[in-house]
Amino acid sequence: MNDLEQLRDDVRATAPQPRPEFAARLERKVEAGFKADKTPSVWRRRKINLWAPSIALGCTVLIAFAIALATSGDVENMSGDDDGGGDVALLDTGSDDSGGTPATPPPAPEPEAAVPPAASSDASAPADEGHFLAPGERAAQARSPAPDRVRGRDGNRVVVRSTRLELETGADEFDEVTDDVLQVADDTDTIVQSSRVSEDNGRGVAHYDLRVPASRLDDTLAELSRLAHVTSRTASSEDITRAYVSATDRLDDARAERQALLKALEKADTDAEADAIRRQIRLARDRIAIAERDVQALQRRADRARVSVTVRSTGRKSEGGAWTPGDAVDDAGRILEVAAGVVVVTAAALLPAAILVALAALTARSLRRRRREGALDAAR
Amino acid sequence: MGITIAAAATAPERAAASFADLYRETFADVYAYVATIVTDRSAAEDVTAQAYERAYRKRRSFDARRGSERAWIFGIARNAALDELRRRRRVAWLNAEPPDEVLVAHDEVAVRRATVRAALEKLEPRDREIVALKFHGGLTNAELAKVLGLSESNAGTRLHRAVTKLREACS
Repeated sequence: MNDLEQLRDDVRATAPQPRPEFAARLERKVEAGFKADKTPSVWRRRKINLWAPSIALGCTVLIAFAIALATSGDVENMSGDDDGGGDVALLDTGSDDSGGTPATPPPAPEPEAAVPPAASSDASAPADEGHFLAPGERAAQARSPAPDRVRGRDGNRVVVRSTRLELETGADEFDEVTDDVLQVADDTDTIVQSSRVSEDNGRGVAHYDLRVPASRLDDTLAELSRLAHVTSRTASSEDITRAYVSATDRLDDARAERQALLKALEKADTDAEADAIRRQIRLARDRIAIAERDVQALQRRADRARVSVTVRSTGRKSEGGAWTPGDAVDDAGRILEVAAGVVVVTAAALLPAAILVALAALTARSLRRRRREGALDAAR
Repeated sequence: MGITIAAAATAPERAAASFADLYRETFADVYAYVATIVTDRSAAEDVTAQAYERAYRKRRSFDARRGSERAWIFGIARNAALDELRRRRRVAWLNAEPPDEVLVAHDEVAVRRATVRAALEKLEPRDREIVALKFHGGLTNAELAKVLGLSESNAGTRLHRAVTKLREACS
């Protein structure tokens, strides 16, 4: 036996021996799988300490999820605002021709002309003078002021009506709505003064400048309003009674002058006098023609109300209608898009937390190891 | 040893039996090692019990590719012992306990072993620990390295120095 073996045996011989009762007790615990042992141990205390980082991690996940939900909610609200455009109060200067309460009190009738109730409110509002209405009043205001006839000489005011109507529709119904605008124009003897349609990336805009018979303005506007969601409607009127009366007076004067000249011509004694009267008759005839043209122009303006229609596409599909497989694909894509966004936001929020937790775990492990080694060094 | 805890993890009964075998094989050595480090017998019993309880609860995490079961159980015992030292913040070596054998002056073996025990007490704690792991625990240098978190060559070097110091202290 060499020295090393002898030293080994001597060291082993000095090894502390466990007490038999402790050995037996521990063996029973081992065989029982430590199930009966309820004494708190250092290890159990450490397991309890693991709750702290677990709770922190759970809170981080909850915060990240809340952020994701809030972000998603903002997106929904932003998209919802598009649909809310219809709630914008309508601008209208006209009163209700059905006998309902006028939006503005009618002005007092002027002494030289009897003003019908339907036109009375607009007679005092030359153009584009309006007020905001509550959404509930939209139906009542959707009806236009009563059409005016050219009655300047029989006591009625001569008014030119103008209405600007803005419609909004889904991208899939844009073409149909624009076609329907033209169909309504055909059905109501409306003249399409001009039209312009443009479409870009699923967002279309169509402008129509219509001349609607004043007698059918109500029906036409009602039909147009049914084509799509009305986002804005503005009505205005222009009182041209004074111009009309002036033109008709000039016409009457010119005609009377011509009649007088014709009588004077009959009584002319000399050729020179007759020639002078004939020249005056020609001038009077010209003035009659000019006055007649002015009167007719004013009549045409009053006979046809100007309606400007704008149709806009929202860029999205309409929500109504049957739910098609295409809609399902779109919905699935949107859900995946939102889910991916939630995952990205969650990952963005969790990644720094995970890095911090990992660093903390590494640091704690290193510290624990150093403390343990330090405890051994201190055991002198 | 023939005990493969990881492989038996799918069969709880076999796992428990395997762990009991591991316990019986290592209990005395682990206790001796722990008792060499901690203060007294009662502390050594507590730490040994804690070590086996930890090992039992962590038995499914044992990976045979990372070391032997013996090194694994000694590593757990070492951590438990050091935790106990940290907790108690005091050091009282086993030499404070009454010796197991009665020292008889004319018994040459007894005298020699008393000398060895005294030499062990004079060693630095780390040297004393590695001697205990080697001679009480019967670990190989590779297992020593695993338990102490060192390279195998470094563990061998430290062991050699510790034994040399022990020899010098005995002479």
